Amino acid sequence: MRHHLIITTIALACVSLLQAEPKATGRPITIKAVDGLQFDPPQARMKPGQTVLFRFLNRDSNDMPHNLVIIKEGALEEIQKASMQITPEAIARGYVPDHEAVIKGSKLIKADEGDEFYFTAPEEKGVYHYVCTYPGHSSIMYGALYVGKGAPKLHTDKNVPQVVRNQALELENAKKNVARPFMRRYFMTNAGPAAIGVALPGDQNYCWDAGNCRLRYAWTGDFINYGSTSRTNGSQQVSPSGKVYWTGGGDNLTYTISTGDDSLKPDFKGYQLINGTPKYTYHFGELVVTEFPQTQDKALVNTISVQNASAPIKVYAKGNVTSNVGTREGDYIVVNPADAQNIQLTFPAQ
Amino acid sequence: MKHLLTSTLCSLLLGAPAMAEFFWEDHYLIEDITLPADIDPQIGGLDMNEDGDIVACFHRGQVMTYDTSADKWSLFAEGLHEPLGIYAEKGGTVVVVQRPEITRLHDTDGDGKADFYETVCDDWGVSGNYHEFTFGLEKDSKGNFYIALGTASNGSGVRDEIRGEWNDAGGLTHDRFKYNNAIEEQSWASKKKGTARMYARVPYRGCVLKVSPGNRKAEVYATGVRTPNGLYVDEHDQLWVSDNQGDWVGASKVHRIVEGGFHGHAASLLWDPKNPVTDAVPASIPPAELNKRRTKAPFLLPQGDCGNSITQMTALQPEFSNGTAGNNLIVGEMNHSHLSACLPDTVKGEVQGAVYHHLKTSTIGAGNNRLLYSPDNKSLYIGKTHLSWPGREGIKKVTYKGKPFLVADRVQLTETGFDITFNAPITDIGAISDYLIESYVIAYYAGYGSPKNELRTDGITKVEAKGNVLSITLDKLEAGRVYDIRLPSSITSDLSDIAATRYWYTAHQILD
Repeated sequence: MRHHLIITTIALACVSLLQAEPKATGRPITIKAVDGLQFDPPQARMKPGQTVLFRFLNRDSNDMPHNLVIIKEGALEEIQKASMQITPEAIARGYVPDHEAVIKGSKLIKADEGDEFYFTAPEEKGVYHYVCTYPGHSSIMYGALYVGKGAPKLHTDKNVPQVVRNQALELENAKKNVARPFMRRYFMTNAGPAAIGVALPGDQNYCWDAGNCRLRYAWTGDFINYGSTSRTNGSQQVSPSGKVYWTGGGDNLTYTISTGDDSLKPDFKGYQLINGTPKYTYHFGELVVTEFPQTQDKALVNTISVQNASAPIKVYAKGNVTSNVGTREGDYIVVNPADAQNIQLTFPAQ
Repeated sequence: MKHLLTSTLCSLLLGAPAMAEFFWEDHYLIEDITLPADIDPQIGGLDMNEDGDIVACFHRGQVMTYDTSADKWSLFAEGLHEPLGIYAEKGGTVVVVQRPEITRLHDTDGDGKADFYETVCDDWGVSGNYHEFTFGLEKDSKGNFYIALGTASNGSGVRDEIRGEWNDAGGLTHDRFKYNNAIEEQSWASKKKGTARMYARVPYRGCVLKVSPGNRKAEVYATGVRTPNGLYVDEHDQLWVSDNQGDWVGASKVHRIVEGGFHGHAASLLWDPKNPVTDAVPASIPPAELNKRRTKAPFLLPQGDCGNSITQMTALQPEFSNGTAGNNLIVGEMNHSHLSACLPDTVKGEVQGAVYHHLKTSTIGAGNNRLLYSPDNKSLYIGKTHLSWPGREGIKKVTYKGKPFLVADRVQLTETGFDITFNAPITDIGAISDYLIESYVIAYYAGYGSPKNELRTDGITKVEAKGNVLSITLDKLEAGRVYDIRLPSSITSDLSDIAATRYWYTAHQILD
């Protein structure tokens, strides 16, 4: 009798273990909650009837709780409505709506934590959604789960939020190069916080820093990698999409011009757009300086003009940069006042 | 028809005379402005140029003009860094404030697009922390610009390369805030525990700045703000700034800025030009000590009940509100579907007053970031955003239909209670038992938001209507409390039923 009981208990325990870890028939799917009330990725694919491990990670730097709720096809609006209820029962369920359209829901997850669960896709092909049902989030925080169907390109996908489509569209446009030259200001990697990114014709791109008024790096190919999702609160640093072929190095006290007077700092005055290409102006003590980086014969050429120079000046030109005037001295080209109004630095992309 | 049904239902259910009901949309038309399809429709700033076109700046850095009669948008400028304020000048130039600078946009060749981006002022620090928003942009009658710098959040750290000199008062060095420091291989999550909730370690974060014409230097005009997402210069050149609930900010508030004043958030005291904190972490200074320096905000909007994240203010124009001309303000709200009206009162020389919800209707929606009147003041454009927080997108146009309604113009503290002055004589004021007044204290401390401390239900001894004025007498009044006043919805007039029944009065002072 007692043995039977023990055996039954063990058998039951085995069954529940088996239930806890069903056999996966596909690769795990990881979906993160990220800044901007977004899921990354905003699209996922499964085969009908397939079982996979879902990993849900909350990586929202704003300390916001999120969940991930997989719902039936066509039920998005209903679930969005249902998720607005803040009742003790809803809180107890981790804000997973008590609704027949809910197929599977994660726990409510704090920032920097995660949840895992096995999920078996419905046998029926279709477009399902995963939604964060924390109150106030569902109107823009959802993704599309394509079961047995191909997903359209993100910027045309009506099953993802408009903000996600728009970000994807911006990325597409940047890739197409149709609008070169153009410029964007973001926080950029390897530059100060007042950086400017510029896409020039001929697949040339550069980062110019309005904080210390100098060229920071240059690259060829696509413009900027906005990341898999653009963090709309602005915390993200963007980085070049293409191949960086020149990096200026130095630090935030390195300037284009050096006169030997270490107390001087550039005073940024702004830029003109000449056929869409920016030409920067700043003051450096008595000196009035313009910098005008352009594409010339497939290379990046920065034309620098220094007014009011009365003594030789040094121009920062680290690496294999060549100059039309002056003589090289370490990382600098030394230029006489007479030549200072038309200095052309060439940055050859190899 | 809908009203009739509702009223009938009410009568049936309650077996009583129909309850008075007020619907904002009987008096306002709420429409969506169509935006270009290929733009992220989050609005950072709205203004109107001399031609009567709306000039708007967008989250992704564009500035566009909108010809309201032709319903046509055109691109004026692009590539700006999170612009959150705009000012259209006479002569066609447009000034925007972006994260790193104030920029004047010139169209020198007259082709309708800006071709000269003039840096007016970039004299403040930027650490790369996402919460260091730059808010603005207002201009007074003397041509001075005002902006306000958001503090950094310990939701993340700062970058290795920053603009402006790091202030390590109290031993908090730059290294301790770098969140991608590969050498230490420490994630920000473990580092943040050692930092205050909001910090201001590069120049002038948490300050209101004044930039006078032709001056490249910014002047610290006032200190003590946290997330000042709303500036307004009134017709007397008085600057008002809104702030969001958080550490040191027990409730969202509307500040009446005093030149040289400290308005409560501790972090910016590093940058006080006259008496800076140089040897301590500001958040560790006892609140009682800071309270002696503090200029209190005239309007507190307690979290959840009254306001969550409040935004831009402007005058509450009588053409829009059908009230009496006065110094009343209207302020936007991010998290809820309403705007708030602020009604100033002066007690013992100190400005304080009451707040009620104007346009509390679901059609308005949340995310109400920027406000702009049409030239006739009858329409209010509301620019929306969320920037990853709760909110919405796009622009709503709200137009007063011209059908008057009953609204409070003033809430004045009396020696024994409150006088609420309406724009018409009132009747059906009900009995004392139809009123509820609760009061509580909003704490000033380093913690995040304030509970309703010392909450109590106040005893009402008399309610009385004299023409336009509703007088409420309390058994006692106490300074330093917020009074949450709830009136019966039966109050009515020849114009309409009462539009707003709930008022939050901030009583820093009482009459002796």
